[in-house]
Amino acid sequence: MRESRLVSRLQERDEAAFREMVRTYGQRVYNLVFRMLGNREEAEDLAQEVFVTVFKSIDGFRGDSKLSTWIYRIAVNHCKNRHKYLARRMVHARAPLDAADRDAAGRDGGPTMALQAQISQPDKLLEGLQLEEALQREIAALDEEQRLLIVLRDVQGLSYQEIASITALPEGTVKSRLHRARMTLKDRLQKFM
Amino acid sequence: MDHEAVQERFSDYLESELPPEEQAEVAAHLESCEACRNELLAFRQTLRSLAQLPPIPAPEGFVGKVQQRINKRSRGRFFRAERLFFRVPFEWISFVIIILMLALYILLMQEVRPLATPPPKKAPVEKKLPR
Ligand SMILES: [Zn+2]
Repeated sequence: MRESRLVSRLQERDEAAFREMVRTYGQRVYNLVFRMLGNREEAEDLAQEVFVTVFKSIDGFRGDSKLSTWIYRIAVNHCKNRHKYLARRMVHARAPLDAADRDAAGRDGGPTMALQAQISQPDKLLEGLQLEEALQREIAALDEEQRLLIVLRDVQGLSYQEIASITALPEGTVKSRLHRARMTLKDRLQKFM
Repeated sequence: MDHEAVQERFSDYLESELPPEEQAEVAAHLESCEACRNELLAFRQTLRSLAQLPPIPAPEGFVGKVQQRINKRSRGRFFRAERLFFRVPFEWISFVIIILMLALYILLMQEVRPLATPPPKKAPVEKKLPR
């Protein structure tokens, strides 16, 4: 369905359009939120909140940006607020991305299979998994803004233009801060490579 | 260009965002500096690993859960527009149709009966009306 058509159906409170929208953007939003919060339960709750907000404010969507950009913006705002909230509640003190979260995320099932396909030797596989784990951990250890930029650009592959629009940062700033974040990750992952 | 200046430009270099002369300068430095070559290799590997992170599947039944939450928050009024404009009128429309059909049925029965039974006392009644 074309985006403008989907938007106008959403604005008419069309349930089928709503389901299609959540199906289309749900995975991306959930992945972003999960990487930002590092906790599966929080992420599921927050991802749901994102779509509640999307629906509550769809009338205000004027098509100045892509629908996905607008949804991302809402998701990022929710993440920021939740971070503040969690910081206040000190719930955030626990290590993000603990083993239970990763198991729940199916890390030992489906996604690993893709990795196995890429890496044939068993010790290479182990190396790959260790690197992946280290990567998850180091992403979670970045500061909030760096993590956001890394996830949007390097994990999810958004364009600089989109990221600038989502974060309300100039493109140049996005690039320089992202570069900082990449260098930090590189240094912290050095021993795994 | 020194090591730091070169490494500062890794992102732009890999994404070919540098002005041509800077791109060439970085390339020339890399040619002659093993340390920066190794750094670039690690930098590249980091980017590659990030791009290869497997997506985490959305929780099961996510769409339904969001819908439930919206309906709960709005006490079922969220998708109201659709329901008001389509569902509720259908109830009224079907009610009206049933009444109409009932009326039609009664009318037809009244018309059929006169035909089956001998001429009614209708005429006298009608004659009385003008008075
Ligand atoms: Zn150098």
